[in-house]
Amino acid sequence: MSLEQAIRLLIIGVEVGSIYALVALSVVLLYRTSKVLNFGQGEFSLFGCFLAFTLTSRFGFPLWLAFLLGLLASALVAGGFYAFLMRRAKAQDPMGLLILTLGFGLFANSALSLLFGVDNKQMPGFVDVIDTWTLAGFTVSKNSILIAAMGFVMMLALYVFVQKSKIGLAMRAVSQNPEVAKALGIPVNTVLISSWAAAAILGTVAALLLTPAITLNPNAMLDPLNKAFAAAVIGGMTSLPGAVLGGYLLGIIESYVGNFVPQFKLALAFVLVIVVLVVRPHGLLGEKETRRV
Amino acid sequence: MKKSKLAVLTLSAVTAVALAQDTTGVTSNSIKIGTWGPTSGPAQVWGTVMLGIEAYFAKVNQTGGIHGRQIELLKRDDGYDPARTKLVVKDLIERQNVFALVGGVGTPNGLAILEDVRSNAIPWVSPATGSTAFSQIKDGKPATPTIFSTYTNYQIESVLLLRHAVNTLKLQRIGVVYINQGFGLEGAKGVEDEIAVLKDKATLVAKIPHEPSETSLALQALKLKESDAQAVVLYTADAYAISLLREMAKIGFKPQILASSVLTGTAMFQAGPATGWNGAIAASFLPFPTALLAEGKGDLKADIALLAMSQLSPAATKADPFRMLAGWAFAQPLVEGLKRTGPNLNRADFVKAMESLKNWKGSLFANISYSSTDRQGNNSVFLVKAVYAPKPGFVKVGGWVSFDKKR
Amino acid sequence: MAMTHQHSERDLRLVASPQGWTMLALMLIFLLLLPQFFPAYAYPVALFMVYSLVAIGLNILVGFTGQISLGHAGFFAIGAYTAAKFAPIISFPLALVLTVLVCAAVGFLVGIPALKLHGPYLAIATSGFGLAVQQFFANTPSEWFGGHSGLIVEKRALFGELFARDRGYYYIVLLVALAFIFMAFNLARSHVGRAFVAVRDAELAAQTSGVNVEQVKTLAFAISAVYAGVGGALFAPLLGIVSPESFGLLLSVQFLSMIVIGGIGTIVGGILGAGLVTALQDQLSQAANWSGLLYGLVVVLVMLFESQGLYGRWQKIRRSWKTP
Repeated sequence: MSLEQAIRLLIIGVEVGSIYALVALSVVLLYRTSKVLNFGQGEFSLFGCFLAFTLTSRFGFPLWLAFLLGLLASALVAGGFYAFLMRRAKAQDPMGLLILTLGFGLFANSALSLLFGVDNKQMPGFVDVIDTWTLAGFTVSKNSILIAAMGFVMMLALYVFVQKSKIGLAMRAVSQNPEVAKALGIPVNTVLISSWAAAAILGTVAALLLTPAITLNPNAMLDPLNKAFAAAVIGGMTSLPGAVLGGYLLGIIESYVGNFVPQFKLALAFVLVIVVLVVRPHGLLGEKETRRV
Repeated sequence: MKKSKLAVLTLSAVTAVALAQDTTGVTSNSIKIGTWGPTSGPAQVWGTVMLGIEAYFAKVNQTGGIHGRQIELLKRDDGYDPARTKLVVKDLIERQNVFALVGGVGTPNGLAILEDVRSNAIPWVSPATGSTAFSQIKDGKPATPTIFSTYTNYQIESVLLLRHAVNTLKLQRIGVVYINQGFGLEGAKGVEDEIAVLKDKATLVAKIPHEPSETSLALQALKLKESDAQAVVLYTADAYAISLLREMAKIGFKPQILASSVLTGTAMFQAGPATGWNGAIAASFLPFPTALLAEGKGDLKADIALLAMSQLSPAATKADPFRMLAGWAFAQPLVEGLKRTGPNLNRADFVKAMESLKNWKGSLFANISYSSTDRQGNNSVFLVKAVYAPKPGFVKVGGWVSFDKKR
Repeated sequence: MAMTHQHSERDLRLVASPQGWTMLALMLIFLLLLPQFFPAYAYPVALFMVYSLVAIGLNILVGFTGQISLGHAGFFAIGAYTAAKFAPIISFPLALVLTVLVCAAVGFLVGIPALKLHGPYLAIATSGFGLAVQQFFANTPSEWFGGHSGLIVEKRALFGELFARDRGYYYIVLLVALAFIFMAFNLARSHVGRAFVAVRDAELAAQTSGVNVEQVKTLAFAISAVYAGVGGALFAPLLGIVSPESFGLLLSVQFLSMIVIGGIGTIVGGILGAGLVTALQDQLSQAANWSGLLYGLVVVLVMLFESQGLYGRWQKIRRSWKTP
C-alpha cells in the first residue's frame, strides 16, 4: 500500500468515523445517567429529520428553523418516552428496559413508515454533499468536515456542560448513585428526562447532517446506531472522549480492513470490539462501574 | 438416476391428482388470491409491490371482475425473514385457502415455501425474484408445474447492459459494485459470465461488494477509481447507489454508469446532475410511463396503470412508481389466466390456461409466452438513459430486446 | 434481577401436583394429535417448539447466571448449518450429536472472554459474535456452506416419505424438543442449576462458598449454546433452506425479547415467550402495514405492566385464585 493510498483510506475512515463518534456521544450521554442502551434512538432522531424534511419541503420553512424544530421535536419525544414509559414501566431491570426501548423502536419505525412513507427522500442540508475541498492533492468532503467539527464542538460543549453546569453536576451525581442523589435533594427525574432529551438532540444533530448525504428513510440510522454502540463500547460506555475516540477508531479500522477484505469488514469491526474488551473490559477510556453486591 | 426419475414420475402423478378439479378459494362470486412482502424492517421498500397488485385487482373488480367473480386479495407482511414467509404463506394456503399466489418478494423467502407450493400444487404467478430456481426445468418438465415466472432474471439485464457498453460505447474496462446478498450476487455473476463471453473485447477490472447495511460507500468509490474502470455496473438498492455515485463525484471519478432495473425509480435522480447518474444507462423490463421520462410521451399502458394506482395509493405511486408498476405487471398474467380458464375455475384448468399464453402482449411486459416445457414467461428488456434536462427523467435507448430463454 | 428468582424453587420441579400431572398429560396428548386435527398448525407449532429450545437455552444463560447475549442467532445458525451440511452425509441423528459438540465447544470459547464483560459491553460483544457467524457462512466459498444462496435441506431425502412434510416432521421436532425441555428441568434441579442461581444472585457469596464462578459461567454459556444449536438443527429441515438472511441481529434480539416477555429465569417463561412471539408473527402479519407497529406495541405493553413477564403474570393469577 502506497502512502498516498494509506492517506486516502485514513480520510475515508475519519469521515465515516466522525458520524459514528457523534452518534456514540449520544449513546454514552444516555448510558451515564440511565444505564440503558436505547435501541429506539435511531427512530427518535429520524422523527426529527422527517419533521424537518416535511416543514421545508411542504411548508417552505427556512432550513435553520426546520432543523431547530426537528431537534426540539425529538427532544420532546425522547423526554416524553422516558417520563411516560421508561419511568413507569413495571419491568425496571436492565434487560426489561432494553426490550422496552426495542419494542418502542419497532413501533416508532413502523409509525414513521406509515406517516412519511418508506421511500428514500432527499433531505436538504447546509452544504452541497458532493462539494469538496482539496488539500495537498487529497479531497475532503465539506459535509464530512462539518460533521467532524460538529462532533468536536458537541464533545467540548458536553464536557463543559457536564463538568461545570449545575444540571451537569446533577447528571454526574445521578450517574454515580441515583439513590444518594435523591437523598441529597437532586431532582433525579428532571435530570433523567433532560439527559434523554439531550441524548436525542445529539443523535438528531448527527442524523440531520448525515441524511442529506445518504437520503432519508425510516431505516437510515440503523447502521450508524449499531456502529455507535460498538464505538461507545470500544471507548468505554462512561467516557465522552472515549465515544469520540471509539467512533474514529472504528471508522479508520473499517476503512483499512474493508480495503483488503470488504466482505468481512463488519465482522472484523466487531472482532475488534471483542479484542479491545478482552484487554480492557470497560473500554479504552471507561471506568469500572461500581457493581452492587 | 433411475430413482430420481421415478421420484419425478410419482411426484407429477401426485400433482396431477391434486390438481384435478381443485376449486379451493373459489366461490360463485369470489376468488381468493394471496400475496406477501416486507412491510416492516430494512427491506420494507419492496412491500410497495403489494400495493401495485392491489391496484390492478381493484381495477379488474371495478369492471365486473372475472366471469362474475370479484378478486379478494390477502396481503401479508413477512419482514423479509424466510421463517416468517413460510408462516404467512402456509397460513394463506392452508388456513385462508387461497386459490393462487401472486408476487411474493425475495429469493430465500420463495425457496422456503417452494416445497409447500409444489406438494400442494398451488398456482403461483410472478414470484418477485430474479432467481431462476422458480422456473427450473428438470428432465424436460417444469420442476414446479404450477409456477409461472415473469420477472426477468438479473443475468439477462447484465447481458444487455454489457453489450451496450462494449459494442456500442466501445468501453473495455468494466467494474461492478453489488450488494452482498441474493440479487446483487446474481447480477454480479451475470456480469462476470457475459465478460467471459465477450472475451478479449472487455475485462472485469473491479468486482466490489458492499454489505446490506453500510453508512458510507466511499471505500467502494475509491477502489473503483483505483481500478480505472471505464464503465461501472450497479447492482444495489437506491440509497446505496446514490451514496456511491456521490462519493465517486467527490473524488472526481465519473465512468459510464450501467444500472440494474431496480434502480429505475424516481429516487435515483436525487444523486444529482453532477454525479454519474447524469447519463447513466439502465435496463428495464417494464415500459416507462410519461412521469418517468425526461420529455415526450411514455407508454400508454403504463400511463393508464399509473393513473389508476395514484387514485388508490397516491403517496406510494408518486414516491416509487417502479415497484408499483412491477406489482401491477405481476398481477396481469394471473388475471389473463383466470379469464382464459373460463367460468368453471379450477387449478388444473388454470395451469392449462396459463400454458396457452403465447406471445401475449396484453400486459406491461413486452410479451409473455409459456408452454408445457417453459415457465419463464418474459425475457425482454430495453435500455434507457438517465438525464437531467429538460427535466430529471429517462430517455429511451433502442427498443425491446428479447433473449434466448436457455441462457 | 433479585425479583425474578422468588418463584424459581417452584419452577425447579417439573410438575408439582396431581392437577399438574393431568395438565401435562392433556397437553402432551394435544401436541401429539395436533397435526392430525389441525394440520395447518403443524408448521407454526413446530417453529414455536424450535424457538422454545433457543429461549430455554438463552434463559439458562441470562436467567440463571445474569449474563446477556445478543448473539444467540449465531449459535442457532451454527446448528442450522451443521445439520444442513452434514445430515445428508452422516444422517440427521448424528448431525444432531455433532451440533451439540460443536455448539458446546463454540459456546465454551465465547464464554471465556465473556467472563470479563458485563452489561452493555457483553451485549455488544455477543452481538458482534452473532454478526461474525452470519458473515462467515455468507462469505466463505460457496462450496462450503452455499455462500449467500445458502443450503437447501430436503426432508424427504433425510427422513423418507413419512416425514417429508411439515405434519410428519413435526413429530421429530416434538420428540427432540420434549427431550431437551425435560433435560432443562432436570438441569435446573441439579447441582449445576443451583450453582447457576447462586452465581446470579450473589457472585461473591457463591465464590466464597466454594463455587467456581468462572467454570459455572462458561458452562452456562456452553449449555445455552447447545440449546440454541439444537434449535437451529431442527430449524434447518423445518424451513427447508438455510441462508444467511435468516440469522441476523434481529433474530438475536427476537430471542432475547422472548425470554424477557415470557419471564426471565424460568423455563416455562422461555416457552411462553417463544409462544407469544411466534403467535404474534403468525397473526400480526395479516395486518400488513401495521404489523410492525402492533408487534412493538405488544412488547411495550408487556414491559409496562409486568415486571416478570407472562410467567410472572400467570403466577399472580394462580395465587389470586388460591387465596380467595
